[in-house]
Amino acid sequence: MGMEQDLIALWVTLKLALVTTVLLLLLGTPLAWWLANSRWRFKYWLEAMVALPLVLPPTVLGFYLLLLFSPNNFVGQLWLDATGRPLAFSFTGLVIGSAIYSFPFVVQPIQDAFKAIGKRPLEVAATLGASPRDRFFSVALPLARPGIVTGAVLGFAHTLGEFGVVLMVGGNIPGQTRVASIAIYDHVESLNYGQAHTLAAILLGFSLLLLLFIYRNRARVRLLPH
Amino acid sequence: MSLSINCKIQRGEFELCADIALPERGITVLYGESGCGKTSLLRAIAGLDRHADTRIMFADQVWQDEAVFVAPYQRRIGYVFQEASLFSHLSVAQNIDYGRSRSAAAMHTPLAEIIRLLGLETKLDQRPEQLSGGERRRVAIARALASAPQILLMDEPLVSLDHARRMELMSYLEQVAMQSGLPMVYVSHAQDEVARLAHHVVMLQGGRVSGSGHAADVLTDLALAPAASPDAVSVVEGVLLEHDQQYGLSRVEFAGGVFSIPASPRAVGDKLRIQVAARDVSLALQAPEASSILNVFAARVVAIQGYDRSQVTVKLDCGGSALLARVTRKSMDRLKIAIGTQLMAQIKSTATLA
Repeated sequence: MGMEQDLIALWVTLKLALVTTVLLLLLGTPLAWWLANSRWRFKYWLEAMVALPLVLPPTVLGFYLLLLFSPNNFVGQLWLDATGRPLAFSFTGLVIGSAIYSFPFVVQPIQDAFKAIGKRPLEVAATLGASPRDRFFSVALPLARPGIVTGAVLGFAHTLGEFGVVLMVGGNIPGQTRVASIAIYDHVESLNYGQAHTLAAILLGFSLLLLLFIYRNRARVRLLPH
Repeated sequence: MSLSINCKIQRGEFELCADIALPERGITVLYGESGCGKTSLLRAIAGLDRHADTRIMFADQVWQDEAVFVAPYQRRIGYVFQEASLFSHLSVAQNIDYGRSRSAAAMHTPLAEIIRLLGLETKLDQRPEQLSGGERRRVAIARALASAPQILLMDEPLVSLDHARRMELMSYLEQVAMQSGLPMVYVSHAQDEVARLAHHVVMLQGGRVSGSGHAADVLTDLALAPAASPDAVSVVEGVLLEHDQQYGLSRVEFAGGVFSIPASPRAVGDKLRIQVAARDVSLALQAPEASSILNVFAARVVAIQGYDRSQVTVKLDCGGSALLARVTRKSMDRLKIAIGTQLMAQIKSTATLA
């Protein structure tokens, strides 16, 4: 395996992290808003579910996803019928797995940011004629921006470093599902320490840069569940 | 009557029952100690809190009853919160524009006029965190006005400002009340705000309306808390008659005579209010022949109420204006002051209000 293969693996990794982050922002922001405001008494159930990937071994998550994606299963079959391709060992499957795995890293900072805004700015907006939807977009989102940026960067960084779930549901298809962390594993397996070093250093440096960005902005970061 | 509220607000142990109708114009002050339910009432009017058993009508619109609840954003209210609560992600100009851009009626609000009225011309590009406390309140008021509200609700907009800022902001509020012609509901626990700003007062005590009416009447009602406070005041309304350039005084005519007050910046013919502290009024049976006190008026005692062991509060009728005087029990006995006694009220000093 040459340098070119490693570059492709890095590209797949970046693409995966990017797509996953965008997807998580779209799904996670409304959920975080709901969690921050809802008074539903069983809300903690949902919060526990969101936090689950923090403690679950990635292989457990990957194992269940693999079963779900299988064409023997309803969901996998449905996907196969709709797209003509299986979900398992595909980039899409990888995105789904990564999204679930990185979910708490995106939702929790955003939820905290929404909570920190408090009721007041939204009440002010209401008295100034803003509808609930309008208040969300014109007041809540801009005020929660530091939390949203933190959530996005954490989700991105966490997806970069993902290994277990990818290994289970993605396999190791070059150009499609072979990400950098898997490539490192392969290099080490085949005693290519030089290439492993290069890739590992790139991931380390990049992750550190992302975290430096977060901490420099002093946004509140909570890596652990409540 | 523009706004009527009939509500029963339950908050833990506390219960607020009120049935109030407010006048169409001018400033109505909801007045009472903290915890008496003023803010709860204001929030109910705005629709920020929804309580059962509440009926709120504004003009011919039902804002809340058993079947109807109009959301706050559809009520066309302006609400000024205790802290200015400006949007920190927007500039001053964007803050002011927030409500304006969301109201069809606000197309015609004279924005430049509002900004000038509140003295914000040079602040428009600044961020809220760059402003002083007083400036922030002014932006909050401008923001509420610019949304073309039908009614302006204010929750202690002057709280935690220093004396000079409060005075300054009160004159802004007077201008706003006068120029906008909007009905305003103003929550306050400060007597000077009532004395200066209120056209109508609703006195709240322990979750009940204990009195309501003209500021001058409510403040001098011996049955209510303000007249029994150490800082009891009366408010006299008059018209500026002339300026005395030589002595730096202005003369103000009211029902009971002519007041001399320190030179007022207002113009001859303007209506203004004079605030007289009860402890600055002394009583005499005859007009003193030689005295440094300029303001001496004939008055009749209409009521007397004990204040503490040594003092009483005397309510006087001074040509139709009510005045409070706080004198010692000893003086009262010595002068044989009783209800109906004709005497002279000597006023040591006055505070001129708008």
